[in-house]
Amino acid sequence: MPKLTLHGTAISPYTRRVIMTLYEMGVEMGVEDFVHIPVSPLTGGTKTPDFIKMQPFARIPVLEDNGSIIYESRTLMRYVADKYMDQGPNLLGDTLMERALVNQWIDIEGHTFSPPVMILVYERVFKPHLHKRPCDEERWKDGREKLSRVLDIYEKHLEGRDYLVGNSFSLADLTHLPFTELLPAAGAFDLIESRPNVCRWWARISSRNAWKRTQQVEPYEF
Amino acid sequence: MGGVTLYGHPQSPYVRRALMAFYEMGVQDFDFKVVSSSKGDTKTDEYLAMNPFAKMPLLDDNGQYLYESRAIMRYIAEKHAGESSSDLVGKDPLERALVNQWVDVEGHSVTEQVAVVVEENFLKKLMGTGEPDKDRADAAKEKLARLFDVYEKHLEGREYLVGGRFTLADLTHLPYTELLPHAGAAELISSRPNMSKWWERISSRPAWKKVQQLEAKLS
Repeated sequence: MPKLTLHGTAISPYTRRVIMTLYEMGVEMGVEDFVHIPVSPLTGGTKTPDFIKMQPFARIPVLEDNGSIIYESRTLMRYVADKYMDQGPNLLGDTLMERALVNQWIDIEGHTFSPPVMILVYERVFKPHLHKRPCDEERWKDGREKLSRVLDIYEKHLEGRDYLVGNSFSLADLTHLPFTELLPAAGAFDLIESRPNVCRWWARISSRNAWKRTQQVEPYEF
Repeated sequence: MGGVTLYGHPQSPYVRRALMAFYEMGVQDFDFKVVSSSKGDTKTDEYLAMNPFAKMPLLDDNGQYLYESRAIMRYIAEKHAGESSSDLVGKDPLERALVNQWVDVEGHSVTEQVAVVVEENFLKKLMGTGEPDKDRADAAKEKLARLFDVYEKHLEGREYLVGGRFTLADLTHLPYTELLPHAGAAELISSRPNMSKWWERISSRPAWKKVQQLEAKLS
């Protein structure tokens, strides 16, 4: 019997966040460790009565663990890092304050970094490719401006640092991987490349083996 | 144990979230320094050296800076867990995950819509920053109604969101929800019996009263 079932297409950056954490913690896809069910909101999969019973907000990803249901991608990444702490790396932080700083950067990602990234990705990638609607250029330009201001702060913070918190890869870094992955297709990767510290950090975290494997579950065509 | 300072304005919902964590955990030994973003206090070189994102609240714990209200609330709850019978965080990975789940729903779905309603129907008039956009407010209220339908169902037979007791999952909802009546949207809660009972229960906690009374105490 599978211990875990992860519901959600790997096209979704939110699902990628969870698959990445599973792989980092040494939890493998397949009958022994976790089963992946690629349900997609684009094909109505999240509006069925069965799905809504499981996740009443009708969103992916959702994790089933021996009868318990948990959702929200950042919750799931924390849960996986917590549950498998004994068999994998410590992605949560080594001390009380380090754990707090990891939480701080996850919140910065969620509330300050990702919103402009999502505008860029939505306007230039998801809208034209998935929804067959044109990009709103004004909104896209505004997204670039907002992201530039945020990345200036990251650039300063990453001076002399390999990772956002402490000396090792943590959920603080991991949480930035999805969505940012799509900045090239969104026509905004120059904002990363033109900032040496951010560029170096991005190259380091995006070349991790677990991330390469996550991307291969459902490689992007864009 | 000294050297702990919380920077912020007592009216800021984000600051109130952090203050609630301090008071719930019974922490007495901290300084509260009032800063005002409208007065430019969060844009000084001194402040930016502590929080380069120029936001409040900001925690200075003996020279270590921490920001983001939900990160601060988690830190205070964890730091003082041994001193209190309150377990706001969760006793095992699953319970911790369910607390985190509701904090994420609040942070990424609910508060966004509450903020729009509050901005259009309350803040704009209060600060004279423009004419309320009724369509924008109505759209947000509609989204909130759908979200709160889920909360209403979840709270059937439950006193709190997670674990049968008050946790960070409930705490995190206090600051913005408090503003809904000011924005003429109290009926979003009052029309839902389970949510009404839950709101009455969590907002009547002594620690929350203390947060609400802080501004009067400071002046």
